[in-house]
Amino acid sequence: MKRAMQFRAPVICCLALVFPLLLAVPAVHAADSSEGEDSIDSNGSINSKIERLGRIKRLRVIDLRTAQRDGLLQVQAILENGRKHQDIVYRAKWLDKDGFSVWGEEAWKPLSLYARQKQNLLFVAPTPKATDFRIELQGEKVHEKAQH
Amino acid sequence: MTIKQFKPMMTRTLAVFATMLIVGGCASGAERPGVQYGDAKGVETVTNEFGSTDLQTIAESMTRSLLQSAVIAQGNRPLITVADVKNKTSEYIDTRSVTDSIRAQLSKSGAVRFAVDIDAMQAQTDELARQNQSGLYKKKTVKKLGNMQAADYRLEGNITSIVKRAGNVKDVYYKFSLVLVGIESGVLEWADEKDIRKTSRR
Repeated sequence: MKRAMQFRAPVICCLALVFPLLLAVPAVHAADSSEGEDSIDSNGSINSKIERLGRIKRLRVIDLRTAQRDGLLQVQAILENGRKHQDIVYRAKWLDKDGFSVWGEEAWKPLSLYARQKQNLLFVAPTPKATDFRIELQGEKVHEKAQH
Repeated sequence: MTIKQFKPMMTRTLAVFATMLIVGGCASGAERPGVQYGDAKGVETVTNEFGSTDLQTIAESMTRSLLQSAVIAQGNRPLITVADVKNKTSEYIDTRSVTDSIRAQLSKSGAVRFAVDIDAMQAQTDELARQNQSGLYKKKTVKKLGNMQAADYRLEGNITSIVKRAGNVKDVYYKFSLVLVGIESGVLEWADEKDIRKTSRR
């Protein structure tokens, strides 16, 4: 009996090391799949305009509307953050009616969102040629820790 | 297999496994030498001094605001000249680079035209003088003196900052202000500002 216990001890140790790893892998995928759905979207129009890159946790686009003012396309998106403060970056891509890009790449703009904050983002097309758009959102990628 | 044979084998296996983990971890964490291209439009947070993200964000914000101003939205493509943006911060900022970006984006939009500004005037007059005075050019093709178009509006502004330090925290607040002034009337036709806050910890 004592010998059998000695034999099992290393096996149990190995299992104890490997088991949490096995549990962690599906947990990460589950978190990814549950993140960032634009749940109020009934006909898919919001989702078709939003491109999510990287990991953004619990951020919803709850309203998206467009208007043509002074010959320029204007877009207003309302973001709703989850329970935790998070930093994201965003930008718009401007397209013509055929889906071709009519402007160069915009700069990524950092945005700090407080817990449960609803944030309006207003985009103005840089040229009258822009008739369509995409909004890109991504979790902030900090290349290096900021120093003085 | 007896327990006596199994135990050393298991110990060796665990040792090999641990070594692989350590070596793998070190390899992935090690900095690779050489050069990498980055995203020129990416958010730069290396220090909290004025950086590329600030320049790009300010230029974009000001351009979009200007395009919505009454003067430009009328659609008669006014002629604008770019004057100075004064740097009132304590750090070196190439404000010309910001106004160059604004000018490039406005020009690209097709909504405005730009007259030669003070910085480029010397080159402009030199070229006109060479064409008219050197006798090297066909008379038909020589551009005449006195036909330069004067600007309708002047774009100018300033950038200020408030810097605070407490312990290991440094907070910088930038405010970029831009105005469009009617040259004949002296009326301020448009004004906007963009502010940026950056905080860093040592």
